[in-house]
Amino acid sequence: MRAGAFTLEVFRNQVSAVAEEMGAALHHSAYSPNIKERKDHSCAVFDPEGKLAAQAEHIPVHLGAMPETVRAVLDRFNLKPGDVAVLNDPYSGGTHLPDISMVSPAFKGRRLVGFLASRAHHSDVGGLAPGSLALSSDIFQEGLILPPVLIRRHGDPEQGVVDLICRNSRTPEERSGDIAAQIGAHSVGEHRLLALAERLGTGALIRGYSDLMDYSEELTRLAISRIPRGDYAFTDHLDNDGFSDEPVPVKVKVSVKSGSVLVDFTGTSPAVEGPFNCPLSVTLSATYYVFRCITGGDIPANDGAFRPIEVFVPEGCLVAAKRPRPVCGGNIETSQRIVDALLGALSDALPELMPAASYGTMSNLSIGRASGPYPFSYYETIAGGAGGGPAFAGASATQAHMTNTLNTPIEALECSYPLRVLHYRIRRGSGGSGAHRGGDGLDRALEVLEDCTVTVMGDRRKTGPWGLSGGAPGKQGRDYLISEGNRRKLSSKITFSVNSGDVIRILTPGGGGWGGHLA
Amino acid sequence: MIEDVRGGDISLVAVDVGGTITDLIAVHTAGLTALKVPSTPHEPEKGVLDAISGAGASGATVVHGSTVATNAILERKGSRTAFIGTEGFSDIIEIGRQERPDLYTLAVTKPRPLAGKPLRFEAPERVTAGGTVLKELTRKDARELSRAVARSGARSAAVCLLFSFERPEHEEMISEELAALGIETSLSCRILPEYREYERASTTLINAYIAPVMGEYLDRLESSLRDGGKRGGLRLMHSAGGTVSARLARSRPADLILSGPAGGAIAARWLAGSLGIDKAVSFDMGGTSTDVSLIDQGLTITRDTRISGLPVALPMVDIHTIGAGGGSIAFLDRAGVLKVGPESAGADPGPACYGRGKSPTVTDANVSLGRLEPAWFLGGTMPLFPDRSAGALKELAYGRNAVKVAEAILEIALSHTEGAVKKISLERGHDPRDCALIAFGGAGPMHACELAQRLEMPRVIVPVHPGLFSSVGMLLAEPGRDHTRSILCVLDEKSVGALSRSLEELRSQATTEMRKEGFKGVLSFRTSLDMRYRGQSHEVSVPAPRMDLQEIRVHFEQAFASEFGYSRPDQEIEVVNMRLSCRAPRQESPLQASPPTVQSRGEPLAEKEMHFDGRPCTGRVYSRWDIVPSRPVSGPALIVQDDTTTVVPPGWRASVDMMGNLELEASS
Repeated sequence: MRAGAFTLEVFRNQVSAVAEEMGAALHHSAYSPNIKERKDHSCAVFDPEGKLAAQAEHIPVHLGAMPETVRAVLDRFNLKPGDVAVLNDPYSGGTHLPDISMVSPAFKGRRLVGFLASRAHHSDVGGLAPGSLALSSDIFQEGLILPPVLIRRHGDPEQGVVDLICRNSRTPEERSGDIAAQIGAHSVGEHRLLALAERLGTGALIRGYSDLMDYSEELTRLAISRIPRGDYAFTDHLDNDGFSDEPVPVKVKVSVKSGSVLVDFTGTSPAVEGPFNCPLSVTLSATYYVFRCITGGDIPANDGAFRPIEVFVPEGCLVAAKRPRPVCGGNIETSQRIVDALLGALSDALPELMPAASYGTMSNLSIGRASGPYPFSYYETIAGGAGGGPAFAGASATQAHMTNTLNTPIEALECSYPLRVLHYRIRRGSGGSGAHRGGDGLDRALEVLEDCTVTVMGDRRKTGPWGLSGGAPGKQGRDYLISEGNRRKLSSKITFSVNSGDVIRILTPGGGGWGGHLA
Repeated sequence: MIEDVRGGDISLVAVDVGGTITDLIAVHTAGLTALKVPSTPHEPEKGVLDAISGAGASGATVVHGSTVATNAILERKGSRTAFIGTEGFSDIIEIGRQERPDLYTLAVTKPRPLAGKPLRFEAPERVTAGGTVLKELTRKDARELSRAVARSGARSAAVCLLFSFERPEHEEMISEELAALGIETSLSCRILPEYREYERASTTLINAYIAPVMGEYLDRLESSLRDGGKRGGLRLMHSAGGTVSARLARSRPADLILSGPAGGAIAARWLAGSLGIDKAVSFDMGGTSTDVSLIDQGLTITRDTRISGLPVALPMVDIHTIGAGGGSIAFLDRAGVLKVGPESAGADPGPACYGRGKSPTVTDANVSLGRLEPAWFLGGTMPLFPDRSAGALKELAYGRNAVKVAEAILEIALSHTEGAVKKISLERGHDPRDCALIAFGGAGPMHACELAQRLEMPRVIVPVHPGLFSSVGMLLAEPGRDHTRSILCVLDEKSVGALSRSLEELRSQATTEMRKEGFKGVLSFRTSLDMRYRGQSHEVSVPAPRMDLQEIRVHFEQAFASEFGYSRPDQEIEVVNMRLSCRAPRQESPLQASPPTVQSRGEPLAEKEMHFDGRPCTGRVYSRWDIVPSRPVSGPALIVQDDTTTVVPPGWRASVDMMGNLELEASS
């Protein structure tokens, strides 16, 4: 029987409760719908060395990105009691600029007992377009860049830093509410972690972190050891980077060894001109997500669970971008393609488990107007079909892989914006055929009732999500502008002006089918 | 059980149908009578009738907690049901909010909609914000549509058109046409007249899906009750903690989804109220699961419930359920770490100590730690085999000390329940240290003090009959239900007049309904408004007894600031929904079942070896009825009664209050 076998489950409940209560405090007190309704946020507990001990995340894209955040802060500051550091710089612990992260220490007396970290998607941090997601060609067009700085020092807020962030946002009041909520969540987290240290004793707390990490590591190695050893490679593509029309390859080789894996991105495209580059943290998140699906979502998410997974990315690559490459679409589009490539590679190793590709794009739609009597900014992601698998058909009209955000109710949308939904249907027949069909995508048409600006940012518009084991690919997505009775096909990444009465119709990809056709 | 007084003037009975046991509790002139009969899952009305005739209560008004509605959804055994949506939007019941329930699974599964594609129909009509009609529905189209629905073989139909809460005429026209063809309808403008089309559609469709099943069940039950002799009224417990007539329950079966579990929370609310306690946590631990709920002066209500993955946006008591109970099984996972639950040994085979099963459970851990006394388990009616507990525990841990394993199992079970209490308290902004813990159910009082200790809750209360407490809640539930109306307007001088008119309409609608139900006396009303700052999408519910602009504004600012930590006095406020809760105050106020009148000996029944905090100690075993107000008991001790055992750990003191409840406090 292992060390800590009796007490580990209790400790696991206690330490994950700290992360969850911190997340609930943030969720509860945040102002913007993005955090409140779409739950685009995460909170985590780290040990005194800066290793991830427990995390409460709602969308997988935050999974592997937090350790980089804590590292960036610890490299820069020797945090004192009452300090909170903030950052969003993708090249220094961040992912893309709207994701604002904070890190704070927890001291019991003079002894450091851990760190708290939080990340929340703030709906606007400046940049080219409302929502800070646009077809940018460098990071400076994407909004305010925050390297690690203190936003609270010895318990006193640094109002200057708060003002700096708010003044750089199109929605300053919302920002100030969300930032206050996020700092407040750190106070809650610190309080709870100190109470736990009090209850267990500092020594037991720190031992507990390490036992829990070892436990996750063991479970992960056990699961990996069931994957047949060998090298498995796969290449998938983004349609283009929004500037040229060349496909952008994402190539991966997974080397499965005894109880560990090496994921090598050699052969993946170099960084691109458009905003589809990823900082390494996003690449790690996508990789950890895939292995978490395989090894089991019940394994506590901490440093130990990630130890058996090594990632190599060559210098200057798309998936480990360097300043000043633009990155806003890396999080939302490229991350999905990294998952597809990894699943493709592992389907050779685990044919009894792996599904065909899912829709593979978040089909981001932003409509807004910065001037006029009613400035507004509407943003959403539109789901698609999931891939069919060896034992199941793909689900239709569902979020898959790196996101899980909700849609906007039509009755809410028509009350708040000069927009009208003409139809919202399942795009029947868009899933790839096969013994187990891919799920169908969505078909959503919106009429704009006033002149405004539209950004469409999607992918899988040239080739559909691939099928597996003889299943057919899902249908690729299509986007149309219907103006005065004329229908025009849109390119997948574009910002354009529309007039009152124009209709935008988005058809999202279906999932790939699995298995040959039944006779 | 409590007292065996039969045949007296029974005025009111509560019948709570559970998975295996149907509980009845009756109010009569001499007090309360309780009865347990086996449930009859294939013929649910039989168990109810058996219990009623067994108690000799056929003339009484029956308050019934039924699982018929819930089971029909969980087992997908409702009727063939059509869904009718606005043209272009009938798929919304399949699309949902487009999220998947489980983040880390490659086999994405979404809940299957209750109406498949061939049973979805579209009405050629369109209404938009403000009730503006973009496309009128014609009588001819409504008729053709209804014929198509009839041809599909649907027996029941749900109609949910966009913005019908602002303009119900199109839904009503379709309903008329369907009724002419003999198809039952559930209209979204009646079931849940609130914005957010998916949640409204889902709720309406669930209602339509279970309406025929519920209707038939109530028909059979009512006719049998009538045949059984005198005719008493039949009332159904609903999810928000009140009761409705069988007639209303037929048309609104979706209101009955938490019909059973709501009872415990109501009883806890009542108990807290009678003891002058504002904040409490109700802790109902049974064999397979634990229900916890926060009492904050009143019941806490949520509108965010899902059943079988499908949203039901109707008001329900906010009960958080976890799979931890006395029967929860302990095991080692693939890395050799000890886990407890959610799998349960249930009643059959039950914990190892029952003599049939082999799996070690939480109950076995309690037996091994000396916290269950075989001689008095279930009043001594059921033999326990402590050796089997010890054997099962040893086997689990490769021959390690059974006591150590038992302590670890208990510790884990407690950490699960601790997490559940944190979810409904800390995560919603309430500090458990301000709450009393009201413990009931077969396993609640066994674990209550140690749970309270972990959460630093100062006070534990165990009602007189913890095993019957949920049924007592049904006796206490007041007739009446909650009404709602979507408003969607900016709060200003002009709209306040319209709000007053809406409130008047809502009150008169509720009053008419109650008069029809036969309640002639005074009704109590509580009004609240769901409001937000303009541009937000998340509402705050604020009590609004009067439609006074200044008062509403101030209340909203306060509620907003207390929830979010700031307010924005310059910003416009939007009113989204008006809610009116209407209740007919209870005529008689049934007292808590009184303890049997036995002469207290005040002496322990026995002494026994127990384990607390890793140390053996000798504790006393008392009969529950030997504890009297003048003589408190100090831990370590067990207090036994037929339906449960209360564990008093070292450092705790138990006494009895004026109402007969056990009150436990840490003595330090």
